[in-house]
Amino acid sequence: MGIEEFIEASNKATSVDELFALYKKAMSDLGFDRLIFSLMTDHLMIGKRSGHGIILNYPEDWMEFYMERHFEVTDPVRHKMYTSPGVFTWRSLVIPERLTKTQLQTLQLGTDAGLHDGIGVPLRGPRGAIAGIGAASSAGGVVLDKNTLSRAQLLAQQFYTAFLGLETKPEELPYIVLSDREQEILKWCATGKTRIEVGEIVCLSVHTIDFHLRSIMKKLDANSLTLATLKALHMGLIQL
Amino acid sequence: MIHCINHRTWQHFGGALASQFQLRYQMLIDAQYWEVGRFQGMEYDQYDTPAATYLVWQDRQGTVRGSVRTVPTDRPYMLKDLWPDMVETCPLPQSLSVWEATRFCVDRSLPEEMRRQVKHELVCAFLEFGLKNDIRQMIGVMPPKLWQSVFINAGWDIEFVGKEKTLEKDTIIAGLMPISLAVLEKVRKTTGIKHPVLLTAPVNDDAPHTRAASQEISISNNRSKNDG
Repeated sequence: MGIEEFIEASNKATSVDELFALYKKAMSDLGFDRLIFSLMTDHLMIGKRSGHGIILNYPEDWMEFYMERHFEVTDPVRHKMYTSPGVFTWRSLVIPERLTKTQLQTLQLGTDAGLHDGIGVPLRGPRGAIAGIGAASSAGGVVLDKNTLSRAQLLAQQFYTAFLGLETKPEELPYIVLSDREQEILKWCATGKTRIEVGEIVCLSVHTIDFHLRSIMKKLDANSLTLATLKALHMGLIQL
Repeated sequence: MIHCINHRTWQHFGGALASQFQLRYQMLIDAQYWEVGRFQGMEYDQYDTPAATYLVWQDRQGTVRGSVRTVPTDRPYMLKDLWPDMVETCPLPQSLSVWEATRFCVDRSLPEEMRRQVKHELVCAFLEFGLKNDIRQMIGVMPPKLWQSVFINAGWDIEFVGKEKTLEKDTIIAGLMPISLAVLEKVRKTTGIKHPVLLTAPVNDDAPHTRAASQEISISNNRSKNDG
């Protein structure tokens, strides 16, 4: 199934199962018959928490083994999802001096379980959400050239877009809004200014600053200013 | 519209003065069990004096469904008498240019949309009253959520002057509300209320509840249209 055909078909899919079936078909044409889709971060807009392997057809015994040993914590493929600007190959991660023994072992064990020529595709969603696709071949022999990787990236992106469309319920969208004043205060805090300094900069008392910071932390469900700042940056509510 | 009731105007507004005492009883004593003065279904305290001004919203029957009290700070006032330590960043005001706002109530049985309208009109009325009477600031002490939902959300930036204080049933904090044309313009823009709302006498000899009734009908009609 070509990219254009997948785009048309996936846009018409009425369920996630149907969408995944189409995606499997499209990716198998590139040689990847093992797929895993994970939410690397919470996806508030669809009411889902982060989760590893929310849709997959990886070998069951491998997944059982993987989860029992909590490989999702150290898996270098998962780590790369947060930093890579685009598709990457698993083999590009195998730099012994940069990986721990467990991480090297995870990659090797994956191969042993029948996950060959693996790639990872990071996916950037709304408000800082991150998801990821892992794709591999049970038979091996996939030529991981630029064109194949680009096609895989495009297919993954379309899958993600269609997935969000299917899962989004507009009436339940949580919508966090920071007022102009709240954004102003949080931005200064994010640059490292103390509350007193922020008060002096914006000509408000420290009590007023504290009031607004409490409101911000409540809106962002954060129990510290550091977490509130991180969340706001992550969600694009403030920019530095 | 908001009616301004004080010693100069109360003769124009029928039973509005008593009605706002009754609203306070329902909202503060019945609903929140405040330990405050009461008489025949009306709540009152030592700051209900001839110096006080009440800004009220009345329904078509003339019943007050939203109100706030304001008193000048050149005489005893609540914050200074009860919680002076809550004001840390400035001296306690004692001036005709600074008035205290207290007893902010909106009837909880009103539909959501009307409650919002009443709140917004009371906030605008505060500013109009202040500008008419050469008042620079209002000072008040209320729970943070009330500051946020009534004033800050209406576009009025509040300057908090001390730490939060936890009472038996709630947390309160003292704040200063600057009064200026610029603030009024901003609040009008935020709330969408483009016209003056404060009345010191009924317009064209209409009974107060008639003015309120036409407004209520307007809101109801809009709701009916939206409900389709």
